Amino acid sequence: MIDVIMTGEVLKTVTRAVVALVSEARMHFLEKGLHSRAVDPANVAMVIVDVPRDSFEVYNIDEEKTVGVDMDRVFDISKSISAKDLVELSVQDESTLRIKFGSVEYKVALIDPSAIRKEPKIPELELPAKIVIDAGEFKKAIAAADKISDHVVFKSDRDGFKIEARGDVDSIMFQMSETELIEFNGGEARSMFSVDYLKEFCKVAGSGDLLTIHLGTNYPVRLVFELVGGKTRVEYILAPRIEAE
Amino acid sequence: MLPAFRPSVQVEKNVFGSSPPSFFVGRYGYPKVRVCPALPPITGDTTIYDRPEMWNTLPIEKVLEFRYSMILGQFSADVRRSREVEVVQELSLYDKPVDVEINLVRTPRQITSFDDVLPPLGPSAPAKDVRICSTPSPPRPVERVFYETDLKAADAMVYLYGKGIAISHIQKLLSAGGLGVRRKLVPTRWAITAVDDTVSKQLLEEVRQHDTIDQYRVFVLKEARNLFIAILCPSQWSFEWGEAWYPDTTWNRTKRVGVLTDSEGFFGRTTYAKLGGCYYSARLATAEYLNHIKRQAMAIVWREIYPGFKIPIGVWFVREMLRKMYGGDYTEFDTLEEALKYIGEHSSLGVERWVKTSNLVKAAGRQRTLWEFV
Repeated sequence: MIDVIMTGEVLKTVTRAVVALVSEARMHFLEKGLHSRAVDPANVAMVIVDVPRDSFEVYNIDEEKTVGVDMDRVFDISKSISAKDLVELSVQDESTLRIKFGSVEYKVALIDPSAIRKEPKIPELELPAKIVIDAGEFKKAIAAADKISDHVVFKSDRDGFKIEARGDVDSIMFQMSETELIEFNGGEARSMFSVDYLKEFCKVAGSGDLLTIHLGTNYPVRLVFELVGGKTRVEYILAPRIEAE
Repeated sequence: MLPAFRPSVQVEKNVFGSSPPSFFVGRYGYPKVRVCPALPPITGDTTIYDRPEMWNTLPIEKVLEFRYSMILGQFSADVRRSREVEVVQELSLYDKPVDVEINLVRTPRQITSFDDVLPPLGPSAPAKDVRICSTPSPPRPVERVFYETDLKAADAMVYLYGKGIAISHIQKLLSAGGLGVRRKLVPTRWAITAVDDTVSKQLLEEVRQHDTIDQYRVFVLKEARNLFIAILCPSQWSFEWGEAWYPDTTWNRTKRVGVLTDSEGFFGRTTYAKLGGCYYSARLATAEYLNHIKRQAMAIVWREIYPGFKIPIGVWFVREMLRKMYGGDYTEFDTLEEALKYIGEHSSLGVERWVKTSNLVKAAGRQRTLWEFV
């Protein structure tokens, strides 16, 4: 039996984070809270979502349990819930997820978890640079880069953190020095990434949310968002692109 | 390659015949537009006159002959309401020919009109009156969506496609204002691209969830002074459509070959493609193929249009030729370089010129995957 209550904003954030990459996923209701992760079919990006038990208004599970969820569907439903309104998720039997808010009750059929693409192992990555930045600033930089190129270079050195995009005739540079960044370790790193994916990831965040970037050289990047006032943690891991010679 | 631009039928003021069924909705003057039921002045099974899905094995001359012999009776109509709307709406329901009688004000002029999106249109004249004289029964799914007035047009298109209704039939239903919640006539040109776009978007939702192909697949089709090439790369979904117009073709009256490409990434596009309707027809045929093999790929699709291909015949040509190409054999390669070398043997433009213009070739093979790092 699962019976949990959270705000509409938390549910929307969790489902939006996952649908950026896949339409179906497993949700694990663990003692420590809700966990979900998935990799996109092309194996380019991974999403890891955690909502600690304390972030829920009510968190009742009689044992740890995994359910398979049509995330597209639940995301769609969550769009009609106001951010601050409470929403109750419950699973009584193996087949149905009930979503209750206000006077509305949705019943969504669950998916057999074994029918969903296997969950990825989380790669252990040694990433030298750590950058903490306001997610809203990052989002603006990606939106600007998107106008001129389909890929961007993230660069970190002693001078600060840079995002560069180069088009056929124009280029754009976003630069923040150590003093402008919330936290920065000055580590040296440089990798190139697809703007398409980054743009999709940014949709979960807004200004005021904290983003921690772990960057390496020609290595996957870890983007860790702290959302809904720290109630929800969403991490994306994105494989790099090879830079043209 | 063209016969004279001249209809092959003699036309009277009173026209009686079997409409395939066919009609045309103009776009000039929107929302006051021309609505033209169309028919050849013969009775019998005329289905093939307006069914591009049946044209991929015919010489273009034959298709043009069908089109020249269709007579259009013009009415002017408001897209939101008029009696003519009911007539074309009824015509749009059927997938079998319907006997129709049209009284024209005068005998039509013997000209044919061409468009880059629409199939060519035959002679036309203002009409006084139109009457449907026989009524076959419409396919059940068509009847269902027609009477379901709270089903959104996009959902209706996807439903009909899933039920095996031909793309050209769905386009007619949309154009006649037979789909959606707030129904109105949709100019034929817009309806054709709207259906290609909507249906392919839906197919791609599924394609993006499939595994990638394992090797490079190359398809080649040469047909009617056109060369079609597709390179499917083992990478996540993205799409490019390229056209190379040689001198002495419809869109190129200069002395040099003009090459243009447009593309979209994994998550699709939000702006209208600069290559217009053909882009969406090509994307539909490609999405159909990938969905059929239950795989995803980066699809680079190019077309070379050689001298002498001088008439715009409509985007059906791209859709049906690519469907034909994807239905045929392909050659597999381990690397993009080998695939491009093979294409060099078929392309008259040359691979170098294509690679220079292409966005996706530059990107192909550059995206690494996570399991390389686990």
